Amino acid sequence: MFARKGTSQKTCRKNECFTFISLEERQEGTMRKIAIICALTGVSLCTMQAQDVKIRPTKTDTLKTVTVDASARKSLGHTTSRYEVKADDYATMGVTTLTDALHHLPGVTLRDYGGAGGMKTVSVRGFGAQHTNVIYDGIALTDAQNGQTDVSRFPLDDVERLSLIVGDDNDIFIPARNVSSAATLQIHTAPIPDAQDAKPHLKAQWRQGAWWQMQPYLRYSQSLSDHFAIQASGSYFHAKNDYPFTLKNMDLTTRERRSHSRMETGHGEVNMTWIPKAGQEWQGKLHYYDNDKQLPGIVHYYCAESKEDSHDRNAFGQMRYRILLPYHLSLLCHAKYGWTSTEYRNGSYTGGIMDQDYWQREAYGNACLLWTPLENWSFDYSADYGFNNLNSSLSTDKRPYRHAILQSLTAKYRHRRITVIGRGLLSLYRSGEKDAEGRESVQRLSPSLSASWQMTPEKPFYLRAAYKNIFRMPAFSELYFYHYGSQDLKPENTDQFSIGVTGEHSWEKGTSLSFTADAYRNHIRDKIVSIPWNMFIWRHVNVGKVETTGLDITCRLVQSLGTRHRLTLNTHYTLQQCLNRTNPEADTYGLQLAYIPQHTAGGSVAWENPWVSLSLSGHGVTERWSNNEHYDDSHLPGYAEMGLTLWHDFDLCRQQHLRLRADLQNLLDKQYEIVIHYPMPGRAWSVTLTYSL
Amino acid sequence: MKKNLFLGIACLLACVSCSEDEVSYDPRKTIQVTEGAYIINQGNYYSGISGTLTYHSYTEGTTTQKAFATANGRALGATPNDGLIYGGKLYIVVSDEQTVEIVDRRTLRSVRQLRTSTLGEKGGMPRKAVAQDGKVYVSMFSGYVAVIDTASCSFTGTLQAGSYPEGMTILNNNLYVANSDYGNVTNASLSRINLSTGESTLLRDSCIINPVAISSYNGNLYILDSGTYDANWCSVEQGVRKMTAEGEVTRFCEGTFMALADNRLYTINCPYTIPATIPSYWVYDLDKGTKETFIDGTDVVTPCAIAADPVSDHVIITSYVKGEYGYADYNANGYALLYDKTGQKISRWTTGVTPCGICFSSTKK
Repeated sequence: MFARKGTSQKTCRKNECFTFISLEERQEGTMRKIAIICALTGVSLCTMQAQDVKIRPTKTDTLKTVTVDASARKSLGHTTSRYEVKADDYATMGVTTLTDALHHLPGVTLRDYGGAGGMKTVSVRGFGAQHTNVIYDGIALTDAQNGQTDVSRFPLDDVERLSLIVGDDNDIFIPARNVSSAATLQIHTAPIPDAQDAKPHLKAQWRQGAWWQMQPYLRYSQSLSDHFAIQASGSYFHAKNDYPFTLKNMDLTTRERRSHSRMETGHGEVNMTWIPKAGQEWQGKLHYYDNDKQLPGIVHYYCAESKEDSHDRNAFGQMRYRILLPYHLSLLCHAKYGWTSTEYRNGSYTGGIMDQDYWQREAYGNACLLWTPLENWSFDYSADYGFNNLNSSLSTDKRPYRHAILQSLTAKYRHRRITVIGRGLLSLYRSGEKDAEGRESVQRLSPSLSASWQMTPEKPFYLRAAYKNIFRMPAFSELYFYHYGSQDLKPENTDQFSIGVTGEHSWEKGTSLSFTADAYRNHIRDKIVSIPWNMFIWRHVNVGKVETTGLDITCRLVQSLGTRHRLTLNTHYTLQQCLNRTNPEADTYGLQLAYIPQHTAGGSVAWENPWVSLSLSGHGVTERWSNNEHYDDSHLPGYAEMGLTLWHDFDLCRQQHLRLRADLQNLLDKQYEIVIHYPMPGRAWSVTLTYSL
Repeated sequence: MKKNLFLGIACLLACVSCSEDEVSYDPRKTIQVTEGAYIINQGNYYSGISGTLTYHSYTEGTTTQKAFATANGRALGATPNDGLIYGGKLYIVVSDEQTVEIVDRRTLRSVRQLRTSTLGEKGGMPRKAVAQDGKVYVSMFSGYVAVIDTASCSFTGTLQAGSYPEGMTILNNNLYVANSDYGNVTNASLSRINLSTGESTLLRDSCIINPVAISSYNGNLYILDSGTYDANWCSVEQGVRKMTAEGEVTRFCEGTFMALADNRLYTINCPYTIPATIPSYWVYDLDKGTKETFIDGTDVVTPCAIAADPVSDHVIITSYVKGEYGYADYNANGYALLYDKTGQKISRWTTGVTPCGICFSSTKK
């Protein structure tokens, strides 16, 4: 979750960030110089808040390489919690999918319906999955229908960096929508080469795994001129997913196989960067995703019949424009248009197949204005407009839509060892149904405040504290779904308080240690819960109250053993006491919420060497219940899972590179469930061959 | 430092690992059924609660929870929906498992498990059961009624019904099936199936839009119709219909649950409406044509099922308990209330989750 310290040497890359408008660097004298140089030469640097940046100009007027030291340190100095998994860590953490990577982030509770085709959603620090905003290359992905994103859809091979931000973002030059949730999961895709690197880059990969998993992946990128660079990537994934599992029915134990679980999915993406002149940059992205899968459904004791299928498609285009303006101003604009289709078929209904199709559209525009008038002060004003609508093939469809206007005003003060960020978010939502009367408006002001203090001037040890108030809007399904929706729903309100320490220390013998420890207390009010009026009519109401007290600890230890050997240890631990505080009279009062484990831990240990590098990774959770009542039968025992990864790199001629990697997941063939009656796969293998140029 | 961390992780993983697999069940014990009642509990499979069987003995006043599991060492599974005592056996219809569990009515030991998937395309989602002349008839959402021969305990065939069959009754050698159409209204009907010839006739009437249960008395059919919902999702048109031998259908009374024993028709009326309807509990004398309040209902939180026993004259009403939000809790054990035919409460016992089916093991008044 932290970057390697002291070793990473990166070629500068444009789309990581545009340094000349990066705030942190403007605030430090040296940074300022870099910014100016960059602005003049049209070259950008690769990191925002590096504290120790050395520039090594290679040619007369260009900057070739930037050595970045201590990129881990930058997040240590953040006022709020930020955890990362980077592409460099995938092998050392035994990560092959985005879901695996999430197991290495603290505070995360993953809802996983099992297998490659099973939906996976992320909830953070006791908040529901709908409180986690997923941001894809700077712009939030929205699902107005259900309010949560299935993170299994993103192939990890495209992802350069995965960041989890709890509470407010330390970066202030971002759209207002990106701060409109309790937690954000940021997905940063692979960077495009810059103008100085005219060579074509290619990554070709084939992964073969258990249960007929096949996954070819191809990425090509090239800077075509000083002003224009392009990248295209695509992947295809096929799996039968018919993994065996052990079904325990009291005294009766049988070995079964998942059936009706085939899946075909593919995605394609094109990215472009255009720099018309120094100090300006356009970025564009076109993305298409298609997933046709059979849904194996819940496991029954005596019948294994499912006739459910779903076909999800998503296409979007997004754009980003950045310009450096006079008077210490910078402008950043975003635009997006997206379309999503979900086709659900259920053949188990007599008298015809049940057929439900849903279509969503999204339009989004944003402008952020950054002003850095003084050395210590910076201000950002962001204004967003978003439109979402949904229609379906249901006869009860009323075509719900929503307009959102979000504005945020942020001030950041930084002086020597102190950083303080304060933000106000003004949200205005207006929802309605096209085919019906009535509109609901919601207007809220959500404040947040966070600070960090470097405890000693010489050493990177920080104390940080943060508060954030935010809410989530009810999803369309909660508001309008036939028999379930309630149009008078209010937003679900949250408050987060956290305090923590972070730090880093290196010893002379090549040992370095970095850690974070944050304690938090979260409150949810007006939690939206579904309650039954009778067996068939359920309504959503704002009645729930939740109080979460917890602790997130991460630790990374790196030991160099000579020049070509290194040991890396990553661990994290999460405590989540997520208690129901709804009704003091009820038996459920004070019980842990459904599906949230009290303790979660994970870690990996890797030995990188010139022969065959290997890593052992694992994660585990303690017991959970599948309902708030803690009914006996709904108890899910804790589990721990382990994986083994072996890899070797071959350096071929002319900067060509080959990596052969083998993974053994669930090494001990542990049978467990994350969602009750959805068994997880047992021991599985995969082999990956990657060619890169 | 590093060593300690390793140890820490190892310990943590070990702790997590050893807390699993500790599923413990009652040791198998013999259940002896005498005078009493069986409650079929649906459970809530999506939150991991298997359906169960609760046995309550009148004579001893004892209640055995998870009686099927206790006797057989395996669970009923997802959504048992109905139970039927016929001859020496208890037939438990398990909808989402697509099984009919046949157990000995005295010991509850499994005699045979029938799977409706063996009926091919015609089998699927069994719902309710009735019996006559050595045959048990099980309605299935597939649109058919499965026929079980009670001597061989096996399926002997299927009979064609309508759309989404639910409750049934047998009158004059005809099997009447309530074809609910899954609440879609447009294709709701009754099927009349001649049990000698297997000939199936669909009966339709504008009053029958979502029939779920049928009983017969004195040559007339009493059909419980769940009605439909209006634009505000309020229940409308729910109630009991009466069909005479001539096929004339009339609206008999209001009601969302019914049970019939001899000439007494018990109804519960608790539709979802805005403003809320206070549940009412009635008993009709079908001979005299009179109507009386059965109970005031203060003991019932949210009714789940009602059944009346013509042998013992008992009436059982099952109910959910109140959940944290003040409404029925579908993840908690419900309870059953035993009344005599005048509405005097005799006893109360806890059941499993969603006690939707009731059958009696009675030999005396």
